[in-house]
Amino acid sequence: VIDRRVWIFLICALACVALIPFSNFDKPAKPGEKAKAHKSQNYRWVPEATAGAYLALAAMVAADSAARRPSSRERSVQNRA
Amino acid sequence: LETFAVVAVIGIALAFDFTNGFHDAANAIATVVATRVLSPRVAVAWAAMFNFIAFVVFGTTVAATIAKGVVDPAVLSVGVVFTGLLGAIGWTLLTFYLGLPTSSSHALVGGIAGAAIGRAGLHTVQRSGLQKIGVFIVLSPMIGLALGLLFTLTLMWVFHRVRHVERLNRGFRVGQLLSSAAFSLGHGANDAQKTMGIILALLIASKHAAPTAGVPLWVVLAAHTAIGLGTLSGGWRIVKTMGSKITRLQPAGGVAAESAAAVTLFFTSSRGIPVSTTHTITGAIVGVGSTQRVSAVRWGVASQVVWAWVLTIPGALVIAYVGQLVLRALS
Repeated sequence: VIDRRVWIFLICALACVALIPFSNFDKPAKPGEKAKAHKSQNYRWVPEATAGAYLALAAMVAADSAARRPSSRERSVQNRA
Repeated sequence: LETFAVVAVIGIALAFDFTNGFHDAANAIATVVATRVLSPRVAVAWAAMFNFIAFVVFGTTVAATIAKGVVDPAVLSVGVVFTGLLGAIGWTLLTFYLGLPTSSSHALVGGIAGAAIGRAGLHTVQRSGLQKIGVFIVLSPMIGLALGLLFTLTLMWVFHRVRHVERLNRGFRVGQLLSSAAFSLGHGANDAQKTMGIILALLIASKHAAPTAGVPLWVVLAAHTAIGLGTLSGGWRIVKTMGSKITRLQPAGGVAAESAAAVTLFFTSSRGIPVSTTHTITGAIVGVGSTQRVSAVRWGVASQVVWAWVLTIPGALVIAYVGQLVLRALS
């Protein structure tokens, strides 16, 4: 059984990845100008870094729950006892 | 008559700021009060002080985004700002009555956008500005969650060999003073600036300020005073609910959650991005709680945040749009 937090963190990572294409912004238009491309503000690194952090957290939780799970030998000893 | 209208709308904007301080104070001091580091009255004074001095530390880039980055400043008028505020306040009251979650910050953005659309059409909305706000509505609680979790894991890793738990907790209680101060600083910087942006937009619309003008000092001081007084005058009443609403926090968890939220708010405030301080601290507290186990977090509260993402901007936008149409019909 995989720890439910792994799924939660993977969903968070996916949400961050989905935001990456929308994370390039134009600077606000000056008064009276139409809203069109001005100097670009690139914030792609923010959802990228956050997605990376969630993937790392998911991997850490998965490894932790695997380490806490009793091995097959331990389980058979427990069953016999 | 127009000067009277400008003064009245500035009064409404400052009242909005006051209620923001009143409600959101709980976010900054909930854990300090819950862990009995400070009494509620001292805690609100502590938070109010850091709310107020935030203007010294951060610039006014968030205010500029609200005033000039959501809609084309050329369409702003006293009526647009008034109906924008009406949309934000109307949506906040409606959701309060219906018991739905909301964010006053997002409501303000939706309100201004709706009022401008009602006045001059969809092309007045600055797509890029709204896109930036929309992306960080989702990102800020998620960054808070990840940082809250990472900070807690780091603290656990650093201090796991310490045997004198009492002494360690005493250290974290002092740490909480610093982290709650940092969070209050971030709260003051981000939320007070939203009101500054509204007042700046109003001054530009009524020709009391040039379209390229920055935020006047009296606006900065008035907005920080309003949010500080709001914090001082009763936020402590809802502190107890917030302190144990999402997960039970120990002093170390309080330090991690507030530090995570403060880092997120410092980043967004310095980049001129308006975000919800409530959502950010909620994400951070969920992050701290999820270091224990899934059931340590009340996920219902976290899912309310998601509903607020979806509903707030469209809801406030519709109310402001209708308000603007009514105002135009009347005038």
